[in-house]
Amino acid sequence: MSVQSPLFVLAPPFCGASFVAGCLGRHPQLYAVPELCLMMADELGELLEIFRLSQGPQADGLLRTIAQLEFGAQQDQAIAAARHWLAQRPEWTTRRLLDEIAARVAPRRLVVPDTEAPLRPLDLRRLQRGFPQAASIHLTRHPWTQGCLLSAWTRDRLFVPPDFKDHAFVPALVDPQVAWLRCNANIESAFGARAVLQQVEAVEAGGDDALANLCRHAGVEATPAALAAMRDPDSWTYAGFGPGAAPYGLEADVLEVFDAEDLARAEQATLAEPLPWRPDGSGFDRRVIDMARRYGYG
Amino acid sequence: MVLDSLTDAAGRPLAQAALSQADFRLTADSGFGDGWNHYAHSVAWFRGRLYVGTSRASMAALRLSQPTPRLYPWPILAPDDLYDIDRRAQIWAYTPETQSWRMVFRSPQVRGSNDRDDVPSYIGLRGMAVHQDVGDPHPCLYVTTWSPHTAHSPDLLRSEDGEHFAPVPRPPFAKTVRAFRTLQPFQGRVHISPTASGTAKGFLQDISSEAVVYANDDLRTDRWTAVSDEGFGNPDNATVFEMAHYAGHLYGGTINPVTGGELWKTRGGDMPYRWTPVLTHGAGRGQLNEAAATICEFKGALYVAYGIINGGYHRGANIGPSAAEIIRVWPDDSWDLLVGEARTTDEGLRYPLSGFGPGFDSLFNGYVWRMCVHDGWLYAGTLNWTNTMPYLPMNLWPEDVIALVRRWGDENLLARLGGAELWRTNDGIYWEPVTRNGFGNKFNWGIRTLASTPHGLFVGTANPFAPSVAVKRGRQWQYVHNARGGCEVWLGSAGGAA
Repeated sequence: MSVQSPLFVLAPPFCGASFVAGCLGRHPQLYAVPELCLMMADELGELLEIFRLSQGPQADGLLRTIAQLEFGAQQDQAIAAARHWLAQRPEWTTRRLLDEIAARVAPRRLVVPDTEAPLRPLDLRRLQRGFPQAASIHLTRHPWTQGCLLSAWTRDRLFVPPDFKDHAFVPALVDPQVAWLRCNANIESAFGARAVLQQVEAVEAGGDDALANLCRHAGVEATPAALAAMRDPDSWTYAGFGPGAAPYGLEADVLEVFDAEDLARAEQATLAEPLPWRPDGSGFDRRVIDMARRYGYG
Repeated sequence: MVLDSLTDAAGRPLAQAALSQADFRLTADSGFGDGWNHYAHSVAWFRGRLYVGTSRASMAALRLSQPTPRLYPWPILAPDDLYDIDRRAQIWAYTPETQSWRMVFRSPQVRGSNDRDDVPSYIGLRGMAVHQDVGDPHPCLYVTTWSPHTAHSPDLLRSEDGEHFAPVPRPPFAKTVRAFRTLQPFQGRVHISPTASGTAKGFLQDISSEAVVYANDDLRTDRWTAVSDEGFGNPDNATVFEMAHYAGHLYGGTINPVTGGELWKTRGGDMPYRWTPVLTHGAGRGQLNEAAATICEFKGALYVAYGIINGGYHRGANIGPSAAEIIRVWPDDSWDLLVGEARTTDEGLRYPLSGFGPGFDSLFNGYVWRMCVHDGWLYAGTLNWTNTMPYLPMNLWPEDVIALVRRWGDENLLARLGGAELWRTNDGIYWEPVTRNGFGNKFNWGIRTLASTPHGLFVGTANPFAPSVAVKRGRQWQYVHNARGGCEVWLGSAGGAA
């Protein structure tokens, strides 16, 4: 049985990669997983070392996936077993691991959301070299909406990755447009037109056209039953928090509850106003504005 | 990908022409057999041989710098009187055909202002260049020097044959100037700038008492002319640290501990030159880009790597610790941030195009010390202070940094990442490590010199942990002979066959 190459959903942080994975994961011909962060290393042993040293929950998505596929559940005992299963394979390449996961879910096509690799050209190159035939969806969100949600999420967090900050400020200021521009530009540089652009707002609206577009990009049928299932990402195998030993793996924009004021501000999308998260009253950078307009945002 | 479709002159894919750690072999170790040769401080390919100029006893002298680094115990065993060490700088020559090294020069001694008759003229040789001046019968080897404050002003040495070295008429430096390093031919003139200063009260190895570019169109004469204003007109520019010739201009990069390093350029012409600023305020990073440490042209752009002097923590100015950035400048003065911190600037938002934060994501890479183009790749070597951690007062560090070090494990960190790093790229975007641990020697704290030659890429290290290094045995510190101390010279060629 031949295994289809995975479909990658690439996006900057807080641009809906987990939400779209949830939609695609509900399609009967697809199998979506949480964020695996496999492109951070060539070999599994190195990846596990990065996970160990990091202060973030990057391992959680992979642990949940292995727990589900190998041990049939996402609970603490299965997570422990998944951790042991991974530790026994340090010599595996991360490509081999992804191939293994793709084979395990076949004949459904594997869907992999990734908001980490777009931060780093080397990680995107690892993806390209490992999966030259893979299809990719480049997911976008209005930078105002993304910025309002991300800045709200970081407001009460002790650790925010330096990649999300404007270091012209002392201490460095969380400015979501940095990651928005950086990730989108990296995806464009690496994939060009080979990554299909998709506004996440259209998917979130749940219209047939947007969901059918996703199906077409994924190479699967857009039957009424499939579209109906895709409108229910909350029923995805990996929806919501995981068990205590690996609670994350999805982006915070689908896990966290935002207060009404933040959501209302996020919906007032504009490219022309001062950014509410910046104390200097400045607006978006010119390159962000130009890129957002190319993506169809005003 | 486009990257994979390119080939080098020999028709090999570029990816194969790139050097990895396994392609390197050691040609000289332990400071050429003398551990006091701490730095392979300058290098040049000249008449079929590689020349390496050393700096001596750098770690011993560092104990006398002001303010004194807070290291305990002092990492090496050194006498109280620096003049008890033979600090005469040396030049060594390597003949590839015989794979042999030979010392071809040792600094003379003079009667110093301290009345000793054994004061070395030169304790370090910080720069080399092959240049044919107006009076030279053929290209000659020129060497910039570092003199102790008890000796005369530093000289520019010249050699026609690589065997005999003699000073040309001395540059007109003030008495407090103790060294110069960069030597840049441009429009028929040689350009130099003073780098270090010193008096009986102490010395600064990187900051000069004057920040001026001098030019001379005939090195047989003492017609040295200042071709720049002091600090290019900015009194905060403490030193013109590096120079390069690029796109028809002479570029000068400064140390500026107040507002951040600057980069200036000139079209030359009549002296003094008219200079214009290219980058100011450390390219928007301020003091954390204190010094333009190394500048190198690569594939049509000028690469500028920054750093904070004294290894990434300028104690005297309370700057850092922080790690180094790399920036790419184009002929129209526009620039890209390649390795470093995202920030808003006067020219708009910049983020690191490589994806790497400062120091290639390592706080310990205090500066990128040297860059060099070889076989279509740009190589960048760092100064890495990981190996000083056993001697640092870590109890004063921020708790999160200590927690990270603990997570690594002290020994694991030193074993895997102790030592300088060498990185390569063929486009400025994709960087990959050649070594992240000083070629397996944690005492190699710096990649100080790089030279592209027909025989491969030579890499000279700074390794000041010799002759005897402090090690902790049980709860006691002891000084023991360090067989891996002293500068090393590595040679890299495809397959390691050079």
